[in-house]
Formats: sequence, C-alpha cells, structure tokens
Amino acid sequence: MNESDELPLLRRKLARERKAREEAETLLEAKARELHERNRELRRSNEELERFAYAASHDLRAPLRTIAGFSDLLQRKEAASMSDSGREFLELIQEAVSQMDNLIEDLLQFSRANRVEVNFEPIDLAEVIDDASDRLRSLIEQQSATIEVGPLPQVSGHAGLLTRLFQNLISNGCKFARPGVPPVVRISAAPDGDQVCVRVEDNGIGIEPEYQEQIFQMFARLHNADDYPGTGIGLALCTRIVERHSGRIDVVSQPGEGATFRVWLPGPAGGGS
Amino acid sequence: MMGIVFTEFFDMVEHRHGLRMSEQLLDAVAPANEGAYTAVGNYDHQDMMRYVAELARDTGRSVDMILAEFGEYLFEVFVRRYPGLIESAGSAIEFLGSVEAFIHVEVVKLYPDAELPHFEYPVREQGRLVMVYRSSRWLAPFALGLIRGCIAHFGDALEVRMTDLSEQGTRARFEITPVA
Repeated sequence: MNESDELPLLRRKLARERKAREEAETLLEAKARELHERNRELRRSNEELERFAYAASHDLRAPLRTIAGFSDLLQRKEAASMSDSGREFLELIQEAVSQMDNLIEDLLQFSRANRVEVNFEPIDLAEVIDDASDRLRSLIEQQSATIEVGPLPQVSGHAGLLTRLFQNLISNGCKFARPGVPPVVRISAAPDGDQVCVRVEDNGIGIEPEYQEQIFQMFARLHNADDYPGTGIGLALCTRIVERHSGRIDVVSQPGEGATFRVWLPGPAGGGS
Repeated sequence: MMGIVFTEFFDMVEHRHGLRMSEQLLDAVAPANEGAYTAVGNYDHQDMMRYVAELARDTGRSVDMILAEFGEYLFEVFVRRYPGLIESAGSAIEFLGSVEAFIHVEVVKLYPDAELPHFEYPVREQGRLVMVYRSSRWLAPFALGLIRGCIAHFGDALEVRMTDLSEQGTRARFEITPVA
C-alpha cells in the first residue's frame, strides 16, 4: 500500500479513535459520578448505623442497670431466705448482666472510636501505657501479670483512643495466659520510616496462623467464654482506632509461644485523616 | 460484549492483515457507532460475530479458526495488561482451574457489565483438567484459543482437546492433558 492509499485510511482511523476517546471520557465521567453518589450513600448509611449502634447501646444500659440494681438488692436482702437453686439462678442473672454490660461498654467504645474527632497531637507513649496499665490494675494483680515497658518515643494521635488501644492489647496479653504460667507483657517501640512500630508481646497461648486475620473482625472469638471471657469486640476496636490514626496492626504468633501485636502509628511529626 | 475484546480484535486484524482489512470489516458490518470502540464500553456481541465472519470470508479460513486465533492473541494481551491476575497462578492448569472462582470474579470487578461464560470442572487431577464451557454465545472456539494462549504463556507441556457438546459452540468440553 503506498502513502496516498494509506492516508485516507489513517484519517478514518484517527477520526474513529477520537470518537472512541470522547466516548470513553463520557463513560468514565458517568462512572465517576456514579461512584461519588454511591460513596455518599455509603457514608450516610454508615453514619446512620453508627448513630443507631450508639443510641441502641446507650438505651440498653438504663434497663440493664435496673436489672443489675434489683438483682443486687435481691442478693443482699433476700438471698438468705432463698433456696440453693434460687441463689444459683440469681448468680447466673448477675453474671449475664455483667457480660451484657461489658458488651454494651465495648459497643459504645467502638462507636466512640468512629465518632470522636482525631486531632493529631504529640503524645507521650509512655504516659499512654502507664494510663492503660493503671486502668488494668485489678486484672494485672488478679492474673499475677508483669508488664515490662521499654523506652518509648512520642507518637502523634488521640490520647484517649490510644489509651484504649493499648488497654485492650495489654488486657489480652494478661487474659490469654497459658495455664500455670504468669503472664508477662513486654511493650517496646522503634521508628519505622515516618511511623513508629509499637510491639506488644506476651507469653500466652498464642494464635493459630489461620486465625490471625480473623481475630481482628468484629465478634470474632476463638475460645469459649468460660475459658477466656470477652466480647469479641476488643481487637476490632483496636483495628478501628489504628485506622483512625492512618496506621495498621497485625499479629505474629505461634500456638503455645505467645503473640506479638505490632501497631504502626504516626511518628511525632506525622498525622493522618 | 466487553469493549476490550473489540479494540483488541481490531489491533490484531491491523497487525496481521493491515489497516485496509480493518476498514473493510467496518465497511461491511457498518456498526451503529461507526467502529469507535473503547475498552471500557460494552457492545453488541453480534457485531463481533459479523466481523469474524467477514474476516473468515476475506482470508478464506473458518470462523472457528479465526475465533481460536483471536483467543490466543487476546490471552497475550491479558498477560501484558493484567500481569498480577495471570501471575497469581504457577501453572496453566492452576490458572485454568481458577477461572470460574477467581479470575471471573476479578474480571467483574474491573468490568461490572461483563457477561462471562460459566465453567464446570468435572475432573481436576494432577496434570489433567476437564472444563465444561457454557454460554449463550457461540464462542467455544474463542475459549479454546484462550486456553491455548494460557498453555503457551506458562510453557507447560499440555494439549487441549475440545468437544462441542451443543454443536453450536454454546456448550463444550475442554480436556487439558499432558502432551502424549
């Protein structure tokens, strides 16, 4: 084919390609609009769900307190005149009330982690760990646990949320202990680029590799509540808090050899969305 | 049918038979969009069948042969465009065995309007795979070409035998076995 033959063909091809490009741009604009709209709907629906979860948890608390109050009263004033099975039933009610209270508290915390505004401020990680350990004092004593804290740098984030994050991780390290082995939880940190990687290491029962992703999901529980009590929200809450700090969390573990939770948080100069 | 199939078909025709052949096909079929295909669009698959029929007539080959050649050509294009998807498997059999459950799921993420064929796997054995193709379109030879392209890409010593179960290309059995 010589050049003069080819030229009209190339012109036609060029015209087709121009038209195709315009069509592609129109299609992409339509897709972008659709995506934007879906995103907005998703955000609205998430906000509604969060409001609902918060309101439902909050409103469940009042009747629960009434049940707790009257069952305490019943125990104090009427337990002596009750039969053995009556007293046993009452204990079961109180246990269930306590479990539900924990669940509601965790749900409220989860909801709070979504709602609270994170203004990235320099945070002294050592103070956060101190605060978290203080809140766990009775669990630490009850489990004869040792908390070892290495030198910790500053990070950037929300002090309240970070305290909750490490409270959950330290609490897990104390709770998931091997029978007859007093828990030891070691906390250390090292810079990792513009982030800080915090390690919370325990000597507990460890986690099977196949469950190491699942444990971060809401209501994921690997053990019977009688063996290891919990609501299945703790690590989902940790994940949410870490996400709010534009960080990430994972776990390294072998069954029977403890677990190391690694949390990446913005360094003191950092910040997130 | 996914726009990428049209754009790549014309690339193949132009590459192998020249620009004039592309123009001839477009003149003969006279599609509503004047042949302005975009990879992100979706078009009438009957137009593709018309192009293939025209190309078969112009080159003196069968429609099935053209479809199979195009399938092989398109697999190479997929390797270049979506290396992550292809490299998720370590062998042709592993890749082909994951088409229904993994590859098509990923394709729909990229092209939500894609209408894909279905595959069943009555035999999955070490080094041997049987896939039963089912589609409302007469494109089993095209699937044969894609499978051949896949085997060629992985360089495995395999061969594929197609048995048409419907005589219309809408159901076919592909038996992938080691080269005898």
